[in-house]
Amino acid sequence: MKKNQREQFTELELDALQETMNISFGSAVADLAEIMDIFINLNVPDIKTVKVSELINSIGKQISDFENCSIVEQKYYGDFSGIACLIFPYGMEKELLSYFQQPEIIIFESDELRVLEKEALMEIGNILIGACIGKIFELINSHITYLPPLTMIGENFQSSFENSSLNKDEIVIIMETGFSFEDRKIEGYLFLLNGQDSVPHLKKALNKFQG
Amino acid sequence: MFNQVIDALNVGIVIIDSKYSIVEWNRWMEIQSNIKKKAILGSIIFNHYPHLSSPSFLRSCKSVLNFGNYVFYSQKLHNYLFPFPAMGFHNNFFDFMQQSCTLTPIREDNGEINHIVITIQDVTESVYLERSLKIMTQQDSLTGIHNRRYLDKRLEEEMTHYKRKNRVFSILMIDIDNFKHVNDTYGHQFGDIILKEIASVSSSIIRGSDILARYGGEEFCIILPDTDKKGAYSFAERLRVLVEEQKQLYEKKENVTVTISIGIAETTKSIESPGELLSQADTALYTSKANGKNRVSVYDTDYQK
Repeated sequence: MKKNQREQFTELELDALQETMNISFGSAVADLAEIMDIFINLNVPDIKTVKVSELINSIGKQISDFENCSIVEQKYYGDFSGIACLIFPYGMEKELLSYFQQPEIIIFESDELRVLEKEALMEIGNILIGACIGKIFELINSHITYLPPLTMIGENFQSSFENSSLNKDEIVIIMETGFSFEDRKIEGYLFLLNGQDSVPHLKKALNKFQG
Repeated sequence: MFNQVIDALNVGIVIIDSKYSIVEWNRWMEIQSNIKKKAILGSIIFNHYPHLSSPSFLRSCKSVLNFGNYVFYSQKLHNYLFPFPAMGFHNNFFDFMQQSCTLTPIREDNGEINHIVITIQDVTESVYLERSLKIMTQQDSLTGIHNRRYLDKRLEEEMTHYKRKNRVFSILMIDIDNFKHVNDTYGHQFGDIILKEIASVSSSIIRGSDILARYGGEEFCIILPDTDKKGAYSFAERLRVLVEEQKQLYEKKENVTVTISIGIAETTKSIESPGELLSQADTALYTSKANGKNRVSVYDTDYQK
């Protein structure tokens, strides 16, 4: 398409970027364990570029029952802006809640339980997203602001994308990784979605990192 | 000038450093906490608010200081950060002011984070309104027990639990015997008293996880989770006898006794929907009525004998 009109990553840069992510996410994981007592394992991160129109497909492919999964979405603004999504398969919220609740608390009201699960999802999402993105921004020596996190299920995420003003042909850079909690049966995926405007900044980060 | 702005805000602003020492305490905080800025500046926040020395709050502070995170402390999960009294009549409903709080980093010119800004917003009014609305949509206004809408929702959920985890439950359909006669003889207001009485007697013997609702006119329904028809039967018998023993004074002289008939149905593999279960309980209730009222029947005829 309009490939040549926009700044793109070379193969080499993509490799380097992946390595950068590897290191920055790795240091996020180390800090989470050391400072926050949150112990997670990360898979090797992956970077790819897809068209907006293929985005949902690309994310959904990795998650079974995407329509019912829980998503924490947080928008961030800085030198470049983007959307971070933390995706948990259906049913993980209950496990997450155990991070925040005393086990003896019994809730009969199903509504209240759902609200608490949602809030736990947001809180843990906020911490994980912040740690990982924070490290990338640290690399480019830049600061970042966040909007409050939102939670939704896969189905709604899909429709919010379909109804958004995003140009369907625009290219999105996806930085993704799977993760699991060491001490709990929780696993999920982290996706960072960035538009074209992030390319120069990420290149800058690369140069700095490699330089 | 900024100091004036901070003091003019209808929001609490507290700034702490990385050692948790307080460096800013705005006017709003002075008013709510009854602690003057002069008195609190320089002291460690946990000395005044020991409960903040919790894993959750410390985790949040660390994530602000180390990752530059923005932390959103929701009212729903935490209720409040600072235990301030709720204002005005909210005092009757809330132990403390309900708060929505944020923790955000302040960066130095070199990018280091040495301070955290805590903002505290009073959201008691909205929480109160939300709760009132919720009660209105779930409560029967006359008897104060759950309404039909709530029952339908919970029945659907219990059914899902049963199918997923094989958690057996039973339901009771309860009907006041000769209620039309009560209304015709003593008037509708007295009928209302009877309805309230039955609701209150039932409420007094159910467990925390049981769900009691007014199903319609003079019909009530109780969901008994983790209870088979045998357990449900002994519960229903207890209720039936309790109601029979109650006497309602009509116009301070005449003692009126009412009785109830009950039908029970238990979830089985063959039941597909809540509607089917309700209809089985209804059939059992009809059996109780046909056999002379003031009795309990279970849908499965084997057990009834």
